Amino acid sequence: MDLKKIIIVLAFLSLPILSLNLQKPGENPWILRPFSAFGGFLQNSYLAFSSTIRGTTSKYINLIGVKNDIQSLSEKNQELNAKLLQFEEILMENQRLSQLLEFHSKHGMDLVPAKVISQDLFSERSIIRLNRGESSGIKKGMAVIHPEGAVGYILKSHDSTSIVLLLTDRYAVIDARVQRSRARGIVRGVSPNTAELRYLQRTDDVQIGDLVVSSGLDSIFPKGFPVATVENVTKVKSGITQDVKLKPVIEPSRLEEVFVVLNTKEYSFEKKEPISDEKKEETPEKTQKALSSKAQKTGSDS
Amino acid sequence: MEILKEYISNISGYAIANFLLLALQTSLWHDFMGSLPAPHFILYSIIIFALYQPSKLGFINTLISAFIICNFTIVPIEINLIQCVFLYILVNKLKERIYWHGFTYYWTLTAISVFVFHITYYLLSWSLEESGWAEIQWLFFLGQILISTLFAPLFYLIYNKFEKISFRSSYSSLEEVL
Repeated sequence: MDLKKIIIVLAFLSLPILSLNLQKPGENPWILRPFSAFGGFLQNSYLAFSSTIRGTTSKYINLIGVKNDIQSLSEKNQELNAKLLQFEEILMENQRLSQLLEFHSKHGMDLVPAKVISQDLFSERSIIRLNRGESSGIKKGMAVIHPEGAVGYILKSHDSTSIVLLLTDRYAVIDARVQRSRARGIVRGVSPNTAELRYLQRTDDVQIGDLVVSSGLDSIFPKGFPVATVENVTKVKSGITQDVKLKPVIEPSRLEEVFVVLNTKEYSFEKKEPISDEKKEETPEKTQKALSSKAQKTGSDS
Repeated sequence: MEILKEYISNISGYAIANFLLLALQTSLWHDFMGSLPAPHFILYSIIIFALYQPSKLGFINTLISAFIICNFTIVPIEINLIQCVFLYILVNKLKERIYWHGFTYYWTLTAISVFVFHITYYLLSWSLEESGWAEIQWLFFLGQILISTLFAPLFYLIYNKFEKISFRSSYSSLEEVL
């Protein structure tokens, strides 16, 4: 009986061994399948865990890299923005200078380009200082212009700088005409942004929006050069004149570069043509020389 | 002799500072800030002269400041001189009547001084200049008072420090002088 039991137990125990031997090579034994499935599950889990860890770590590692990249990119961006601003500034300066150059070469006047370096300490006074002075041939009383319009005239000239009285200063006066009706008056500064046209007759034709140009009679400004536009006209009941408020063509606070007119050569902006060479030669100095030589000649003859 | 050296260093220090500040006010400020009113830099030092300096030194410094102003404006020298001296006397007299310690006093005086400086200019221009009355630019005027007041604490600190440095031997502290 005991032996029987032993045989049965051994037979049961040998079954798996027998079944193992009966397996074809390469097949997974059935008894190991659950273990291998469990093992596979564990391995998959480990792999998933490991890949998650690796993914997260790499994300963090990448983040550090990204942070560095962002920093370097933002630095580059700032640098490029600064360069862009610089280029824009250069472009604007280039445009301004080419406008000045075009103006300089287009007209037959003797002009000296100058840069505005400062303004007056008192805002009530419309004064600017230029970086050119007597060493560049600039003298007191010379006109200062911008391609868009009249600016003012030289009040004082030092060796390397000069002071300009803007046409909006209450001491500044310019002989001018209303371009449309040819009515003549004197432009006088009132405040940093306004001027007035004085000594116009009551009957003179002036309308809002009219352009006031230099008359050229003062021999400082070229004839017909834009000075201001009419902003308001008031006719007082009693009186022989009319009050004409002007807005200067040029906004003095925005000026950066100007021209000082050394010699207008009687250039007129109304004709748009310079005077002929023959006439150019007939400058007052030459005429005076000719007259004096003539007088000497007649004196020696007599 | 030591005192004389200190006086000279004080006068030259303020002269250099005022020259630099006025150059900044008339050129650099407009380049960067456009039409925004610049603070009246010269007033900061004139108030210091009137408040904290011995009367002779303060007066000399005020006169020198007026001459420095002339280099940066076309306004006649007599107007500049009268303006600066009047402001110096006004602050000096005001100090005798009303005074409290601390920078708030200096601050208040800065605002008053900008106002007085402008008003005296208009009056002097009306009475002394040929072209008469200068048109008052109210917006600029108020803007300058505000901006000058805004910068006052900074200059109070700087000039106080300078006063202490330049008068090392004779000048114990501002409070003691007062």
